[in-house]
Amino acid sequence: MKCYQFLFIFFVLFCRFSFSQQKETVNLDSIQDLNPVILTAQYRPQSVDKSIFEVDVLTQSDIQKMAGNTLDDVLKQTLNLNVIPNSGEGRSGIQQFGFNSEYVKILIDGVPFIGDEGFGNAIDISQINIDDIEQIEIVEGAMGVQYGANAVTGVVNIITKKSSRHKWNLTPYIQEETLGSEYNWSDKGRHIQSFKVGYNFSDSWYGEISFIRNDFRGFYGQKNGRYFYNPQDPNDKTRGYDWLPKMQHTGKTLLNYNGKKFRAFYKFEYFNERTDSYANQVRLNLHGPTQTVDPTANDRVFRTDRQYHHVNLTGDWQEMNYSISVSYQEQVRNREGFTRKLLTGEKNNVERYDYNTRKGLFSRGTLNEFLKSNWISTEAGYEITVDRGEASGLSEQNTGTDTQLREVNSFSGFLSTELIASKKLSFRPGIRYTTSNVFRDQIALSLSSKLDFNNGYQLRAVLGTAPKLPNFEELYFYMVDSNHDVRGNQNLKPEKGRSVFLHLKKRFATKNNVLSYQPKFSVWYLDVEDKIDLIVANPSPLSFQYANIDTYKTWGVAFRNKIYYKQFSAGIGIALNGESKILNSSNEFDDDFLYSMQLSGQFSYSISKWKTSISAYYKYNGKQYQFVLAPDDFGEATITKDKQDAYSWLDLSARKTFWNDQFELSLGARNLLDVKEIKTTSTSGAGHSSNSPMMLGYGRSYFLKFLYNINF
Amino acid sequence: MKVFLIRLSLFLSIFVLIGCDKDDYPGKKDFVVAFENPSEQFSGEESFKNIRLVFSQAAPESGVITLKITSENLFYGAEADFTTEPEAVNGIIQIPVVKGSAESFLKLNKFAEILPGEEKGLQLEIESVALQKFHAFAQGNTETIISFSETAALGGAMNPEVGGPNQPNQVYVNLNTKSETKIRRDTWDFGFYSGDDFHVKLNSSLYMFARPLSFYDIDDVREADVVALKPWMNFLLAGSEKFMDHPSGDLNKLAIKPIAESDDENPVYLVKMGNEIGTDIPAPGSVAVAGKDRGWKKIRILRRGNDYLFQYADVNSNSHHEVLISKEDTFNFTFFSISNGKVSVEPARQNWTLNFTVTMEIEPLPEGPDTAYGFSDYVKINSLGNVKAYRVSTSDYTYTDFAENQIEESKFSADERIIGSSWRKATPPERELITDIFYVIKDAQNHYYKLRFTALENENGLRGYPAFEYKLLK
Repeated sequence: MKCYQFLFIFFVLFCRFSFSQQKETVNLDSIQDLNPVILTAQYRPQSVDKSIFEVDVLTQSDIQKMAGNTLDDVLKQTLNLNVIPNSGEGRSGIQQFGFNSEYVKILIDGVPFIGDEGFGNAIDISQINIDDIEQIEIVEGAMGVQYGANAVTGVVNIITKKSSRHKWNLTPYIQEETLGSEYNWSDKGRHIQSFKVGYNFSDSWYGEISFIRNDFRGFYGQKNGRYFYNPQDPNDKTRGYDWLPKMQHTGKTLLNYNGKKFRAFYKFEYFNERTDSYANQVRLNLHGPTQTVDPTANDRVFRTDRQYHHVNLTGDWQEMNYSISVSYQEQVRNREGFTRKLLTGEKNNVERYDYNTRKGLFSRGTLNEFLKSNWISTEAGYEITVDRGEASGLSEQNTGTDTQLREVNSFSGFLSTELIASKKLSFRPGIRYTTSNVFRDQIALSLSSKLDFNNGYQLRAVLGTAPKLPNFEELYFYMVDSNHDVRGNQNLKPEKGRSVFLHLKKRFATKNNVLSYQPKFSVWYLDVEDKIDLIVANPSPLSFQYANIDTYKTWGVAFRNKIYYKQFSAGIGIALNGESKILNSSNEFDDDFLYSMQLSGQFSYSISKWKTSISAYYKYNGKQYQFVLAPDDFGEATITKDKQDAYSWLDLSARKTFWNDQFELSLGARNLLDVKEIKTTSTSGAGHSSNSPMMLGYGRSYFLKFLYNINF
Repeated sequence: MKVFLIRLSLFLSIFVLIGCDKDDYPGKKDFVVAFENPSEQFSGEESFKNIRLVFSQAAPESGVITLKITSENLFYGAEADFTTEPEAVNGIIQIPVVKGSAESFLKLNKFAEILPGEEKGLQLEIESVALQKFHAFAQGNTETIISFSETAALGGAMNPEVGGPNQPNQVYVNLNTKSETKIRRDTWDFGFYSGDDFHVKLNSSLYMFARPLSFYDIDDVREADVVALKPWMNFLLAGSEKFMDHPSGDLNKLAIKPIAESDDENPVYLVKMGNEIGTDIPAPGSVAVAGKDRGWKKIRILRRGNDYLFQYADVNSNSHHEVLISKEDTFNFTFFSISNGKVSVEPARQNWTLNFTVTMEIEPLPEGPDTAYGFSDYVKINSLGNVKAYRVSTSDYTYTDFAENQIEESKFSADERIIGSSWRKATPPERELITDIFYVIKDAQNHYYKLRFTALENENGLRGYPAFEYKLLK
């Protein structure tokens, strides 16, 4: 797509001259909002300080400084979150408190996002574009009452922008990134182009349309690309890419109405992704007589198509507030497999099928303040999900024909009441009751409380529970032949998650706020009972089946600090998290707590004279340990402790505006410490150790983003 | 407003995607020609032979191949020893390359009478290959030696027809004549040893098991007597390897103990008949060799002179069938199928070297003890026919350079497993040919060969399409 970027530059120059008469000031870096307004788990938009829940906020300016394009770009700098990429499939998931992405719920404007396992969980966060985001709100802990099943370790709620100050706002931008040291305009690097048009039809109507193209050309790393084969050693596995090439297109529209007592919006998103997977293994197909080769490889193309519709109505009616969201979402994931001839590119034996198809309807409504008094406020609500999913390819047997259909319909009612015992003390108990066509009725409970001390300290205690539904594989996996017997279990119960969080914080500030300091200390405990694992169902003949059997426990402490001084702001955090696994699925296990530490630091400095801000983001992910059962030198199964090495992310960026703030230039470096892969070392009793690497990144990379704001 | 619309459409035109990113595969640049085999032999009766020339790809355009004949003591002409079609002129033959075809051939008519013990032959060599524009040349088997009498093949490439991911065939390969005999795996159930002793083997390619019962009259056995024993004759089960034929091929380690002279010492056996040939279509790289269950039988085998008396019946039956099976001197075994009676399976003892088959092996379970386990793409050597072999690592010698004087006689092994599965890896997701190993094989006629595998899968990645190449060393 060489042609494309040239056109863009031409266009930028063109606009520069034609719109130069326009003058409008865009605030580059409005002084950090010390107390942002949040929506997650609130009865109505409320400041962080007043919220009874503890909510962390990533603001738009944070996102801009990191030049984040998809959600994984920004979340990896967040304390207590790990972004775990899968270089082989090109996906990224969130890991929180040692649990995988099936335990954390991802919401967009309060509506769970559809993923491979239903609404809100197991989301590939590298598929969520964040160009239109106001802020990202992160709540830790089980939030089953507020957000239903699978909100076990926490909730990430993405709040999108719904207004513009200008009659017309046109925003094109391009972003060019290197992947490690790899970059060119034909087949390397990452190339992003985006264009957005916003228009205020009237004081109350606003519309927006945007389009983003994200072209990740793949990171070669140790490999040699798609055309490569080694005639001497076909098994050297250096064909293909360390990170697969993928192309994403996102289209979004928004229509927003903002009246006096009534607000409504409709948001539509279309997403399309193509990932090309080039097999590392090549077959030479030696033609004996002529000693010539005609190499072939089994390549795959994965495609994802997704639609997201969301209508929200919010308003006041006779002293009460209501909010109703209705969302229809659809996702189709398609796999195309074929044999590719490496000399001619010819595709043979093409087999194409949808391996994960989902259609879901979600509706959530709340009504609050219907028992209004000075000391009590109440919220009642409902949530309906109709989630129809088909998954195939769960085993290698009869792929394509062995498709499982699952429909999970659930209806929940929830009720919570905030009791203001005194000016200082308030409580909010809550309950959710869920019935569904698949699982037994579930009850989730929560109790939050907030205590304001006289000296400005605030103490919050948040208790919650949430169920985690079994996934497709656990329910339906089937691989039975003469040599194997592994089966899913349709009688699995949801896992039970529980958590307690305590947060103590205070804001110190000098007069006129020149210097302010805001420390927060948190401590938590979270466990999941009835955790599903594969067990030996029958030792002879050997067969495996999924069962509700394990218990995972985690606890930890975190200390987060925010400092603002004039043009300087900083955030520094440290967290220690311990995990223990009671693996009844295994003959032997060790349930000692294994600890890991994380550090995070964000520093930002604005130079108003130059209209420039400079930022640094640092995150340290400490060593992680895990017990594994492995045979020792004598073939006896023993428990060994695996160590995953520590690694750090360091990003630097500078952002500057030009020409009456119409142009915005961001440039920076990601992954300055050049992390590519980390080692997992397992040490057995005899002192032998073995290493297996895990791919984390593609090394030190640079980006340049060029954005143009045309407002009139 | 008009100006604005022009500007807007200009913006939007930028987002019309232009397909600049085009795949750029190198293409097939060369057209390569070779003889199919480095040697050809006229067997006794043959009066003509088609000598095949094969191409590396379908001919992209027409052209011509020029061959040169060299002969010793053989003369060209219909009245003399041999002629060719197309005709040879001054020892040169021009063979057309037809656009779109992947091979050509030369017909060789033999008139000469060759006396026993006499070795006469001729040699064909590709002198040149010419296509109109395409780059064309000869490589690989650029010459072939044609022997007018039966001699050992010099080697070549072979693709034993195992038959794809269900691996329906057992393929017997004769390196000496570069030929194969294939037979469906389910043709036979039991093999009765033809040598001096009395041994009976099971068809391990169908995953058969057998265990002795404490009964000595076949009609006495009832379902209730064996129901508790059946579950132990299965894969992935500690100890189940005791009920299968030992993979080494050692006749004294078969599931059925040597047949004793005295009838009283030959118990009734419970036999699991294994599985039919699979019919599922597995994903590329996988196999589906085991189909429907073939049920259970009870059997008893007795000696009758130099013959076997074979008794068999359904487990719960109070009567049985009986058949007398005699030894066949030139074969390793006499084969018998309960549904088809006596069947022919293996070529004669001296006429095969390798057997490609599904089979059973012994594997350790995760907890430690051994179990029976199914193996596909297995290669057994004909140890009863005096074939021996050993493995060579390419870190010691390369296949290409390995020569006669590097053969180490002391390394030869008669274990049927010596090639076995050592040439491929088949643990998902790694399914690949092992390229750092080759084999030295010695047959009963004292021919020595080197052999390496060149494919485990076909070009689409489907299992059950093995390929190898070999060369006569001496």
